[in-house]
Amino acid sequence: MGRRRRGTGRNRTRPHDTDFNEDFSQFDDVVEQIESLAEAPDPQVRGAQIQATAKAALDGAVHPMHPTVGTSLTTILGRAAAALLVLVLGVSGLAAEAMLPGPIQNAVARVAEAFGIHFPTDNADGAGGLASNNCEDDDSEPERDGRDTAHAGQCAADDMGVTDELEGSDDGSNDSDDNSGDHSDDDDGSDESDDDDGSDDSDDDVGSEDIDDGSEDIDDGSEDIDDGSEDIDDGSEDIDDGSEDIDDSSDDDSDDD
Amino acid sequence: MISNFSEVLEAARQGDQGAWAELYDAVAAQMLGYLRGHGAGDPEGLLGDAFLQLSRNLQTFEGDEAGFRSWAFTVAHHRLIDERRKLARRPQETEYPVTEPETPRAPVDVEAEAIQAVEQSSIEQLLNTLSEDQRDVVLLRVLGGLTTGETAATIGKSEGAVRVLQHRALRALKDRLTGGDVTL
Repeated sequence: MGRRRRGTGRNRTRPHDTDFNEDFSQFDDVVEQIESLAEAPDPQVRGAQIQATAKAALDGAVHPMHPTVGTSLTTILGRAAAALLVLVLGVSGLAAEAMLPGPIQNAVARVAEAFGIHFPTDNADGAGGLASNNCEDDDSEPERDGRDTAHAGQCAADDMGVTDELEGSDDGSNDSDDNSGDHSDDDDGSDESDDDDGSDDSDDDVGSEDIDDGSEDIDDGSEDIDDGSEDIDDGSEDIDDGSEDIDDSSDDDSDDD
Repeated sequence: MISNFSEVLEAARQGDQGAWAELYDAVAAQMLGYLRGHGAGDPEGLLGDAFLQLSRNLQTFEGDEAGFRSWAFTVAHHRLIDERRKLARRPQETEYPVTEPETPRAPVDVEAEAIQAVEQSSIEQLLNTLSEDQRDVVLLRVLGGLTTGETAATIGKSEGAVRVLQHRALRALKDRLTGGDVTL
């Protein structure tokens, strides 16, 4: 029952045994037959094709625009892409003018914000102003979304009319103050978020006197934590609970400077 | 062989008809043979398409005459593939010949025409016994005068594969010629 093993025969031709660089000398008759296929085109065809080719080349030389630019709009995909581009630009333009319905305006603004573009948003009042300039909008958004707190602090600082130096030092502390305020609210799980009162929060963050007010508000909500924070506050009068140690150092540094 | 290829090329870019006639005559017959050898349905139409493509892209071409020849055969190869794809997508249509009164033709050597027709049909029949890749390699190497590397680039294979295909194709053709499978 011997199954014949293929490829082990002594006389098997191996590819590397053959000189593949051979010229066509030993295949002259074959080559001659193949070359007989090469026949000049009919003179009329030749003339017409040369003329058409030269004309096409001349058109290309006169109008050197790449042909795909002109032909891209003739395809279905090209038209769809162009329509999509027009749609996006149109929606963006309307959103910039705040002419879209509220939910759509908000959605477009959120998407645009991801790319660093600020569009007007439709807030609860229904007023549409530029998000970067409207501090009333910012007062509510950081609390709800937990983001853009630095911007809220900046707006609050604008409202307070603080100096540039204070703004520079307070910006760092504002962030942590906002976070600590939010965390304490979350820990309480109560309605003490009302104590923060939106704009009050941002106002608290900026001025040192107002920061004390903010801590008092928190004390109302969670007494245990407030006890601890009050002890710390005794040490450093300015600042709040938990992370306020860090705030102390930053404020001190800025004050020293 | 074009003596001053760069000047002809530049004139062809500007649409000079004489320059295009030189370029055309340098490669058209071989390209037509290549298309015929592949059994193209309308080889002269494909040749015209290929030259139109060459004229559109000549602004971006850089190289010598050998490079132009290689490029021209590459374009012809692609036109051939396009035609086959179109034919594969379309249903086969049968055309009924329309009898028209023959126009008087210039006197030709009927015997020579008949011999040439027989030879062409025989070599085409012979080439049909090869695989598609073998036919590609033999026609590009023999008719196009392309190097192994240029042939490999045109059909998208390695140079080693081209050498193997060439050897096997020529060996098969010679065996059939000497064996009498095809009468030439």
